Amino acid sequence: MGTYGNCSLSNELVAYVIGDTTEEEKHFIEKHLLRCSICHREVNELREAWNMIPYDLEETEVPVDLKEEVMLAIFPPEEVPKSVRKWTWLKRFSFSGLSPHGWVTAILIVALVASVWNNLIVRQQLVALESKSEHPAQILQVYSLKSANPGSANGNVWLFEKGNAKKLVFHLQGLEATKGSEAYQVWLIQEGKRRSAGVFLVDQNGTGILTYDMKEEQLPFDAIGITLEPDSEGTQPRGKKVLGT
Amino acid sequence: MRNKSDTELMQLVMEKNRPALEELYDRYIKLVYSFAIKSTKDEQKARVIVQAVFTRLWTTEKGYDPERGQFVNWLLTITRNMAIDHLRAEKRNHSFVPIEPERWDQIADHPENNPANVVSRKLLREQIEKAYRYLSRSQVELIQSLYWEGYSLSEIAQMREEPIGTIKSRLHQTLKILRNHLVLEMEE
Ligand SMILES: [Zn+2]
Repeated sequence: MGTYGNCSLSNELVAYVIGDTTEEEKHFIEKHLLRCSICHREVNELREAWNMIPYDLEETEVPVDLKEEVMLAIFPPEEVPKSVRKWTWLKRFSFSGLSPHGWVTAILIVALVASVWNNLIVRQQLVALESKSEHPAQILQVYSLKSANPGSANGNVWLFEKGNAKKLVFHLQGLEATKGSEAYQVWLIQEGKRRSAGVFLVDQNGTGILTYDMKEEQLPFDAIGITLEPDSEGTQPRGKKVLGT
Repeated sequence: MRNKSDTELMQLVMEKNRPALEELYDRYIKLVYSFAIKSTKDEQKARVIVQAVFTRLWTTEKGYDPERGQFVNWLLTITRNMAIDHLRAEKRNHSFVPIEPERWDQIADHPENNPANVVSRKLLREQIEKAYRYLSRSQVELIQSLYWEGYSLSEIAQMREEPIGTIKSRLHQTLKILRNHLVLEMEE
């Protein structure tokens, strides 16, 4: 292997080591490294130093609910069941055992995914939930909503239970901006009958959030649909369906 | 799962074994999370990055190749790329070089420089801290923008209004100093 006593590549080698080169430069350097043991060694040494930088980390305390959150996102619960009566077996997705803030923490996941904190209504509801939190919250079910039309709209719905209270939290994205009095409306469907779970608007990114308090006598439902309505006053769907389970 | 090596666990993850993924999470969450915090200085963003990293482990098709270096370095490279992608998405008004998510550089296989095997991370951190004391302020800043914040060399040159050659040679000196002092510390 020939060595080139006066290589003047050191600046290019460092760019190569950190991966900040064009394909052409990269190719040129790799070809040179095959022939030049000095540069080859230099690259190894620079790379060792570069790879050690992250070990300068101060260890940070990991939030206790993070694992649950990560695993829940990777392993979503089974597809929408025939009826939400099957709740009991879903309790393994439990947030119990966490601090009294568990309920809030659970909903924070939604807020986190959404990154939409400027929704005042949700914010107020979170504050309200926080103040009465003796029972830990559990996620009973996660539904994913798919676009009814070609397009990138999608969404997730979380069904939380805390004590006797049940709440649906919707996070929807990729929706078109509404015009005039238009609003999106959420429908809970049971045996072909639809009841409204509320209306929402989307932000400039097409993201919307809605929470809905479930009442015991309204249970169960077996599908969720979202329509774009001419206004927010309807009790039955009039506009076209945009998302559904 | 406890007595399996990282490589064995990653193999199981490729076969869609959930307990293996959970074990890797337990082993490395502290490192990955600390990295994401250092990079973003924000808990919510760090959570998003952690999510992205473990989702990537679960869905990777190429997988981890032990021939190319240690698992921990591969994991940190993914973490850094995810963090940088995230930071870049936030600064969309700049133009950035796209970066291939699984690109990573192998660490040289000299055992004395093999971070996880020879010295504990804590010890290594102390040593790096010592080595950092030999760096000038502009050298420390360079590492911050380049490594942790994911700016490219040309972006840094622009921001600092310095020729790119100056930035490259500063980086060269910085890495040399770090390495020389680390090697010295380890030989003591
Ligand atoms: Zn050379």
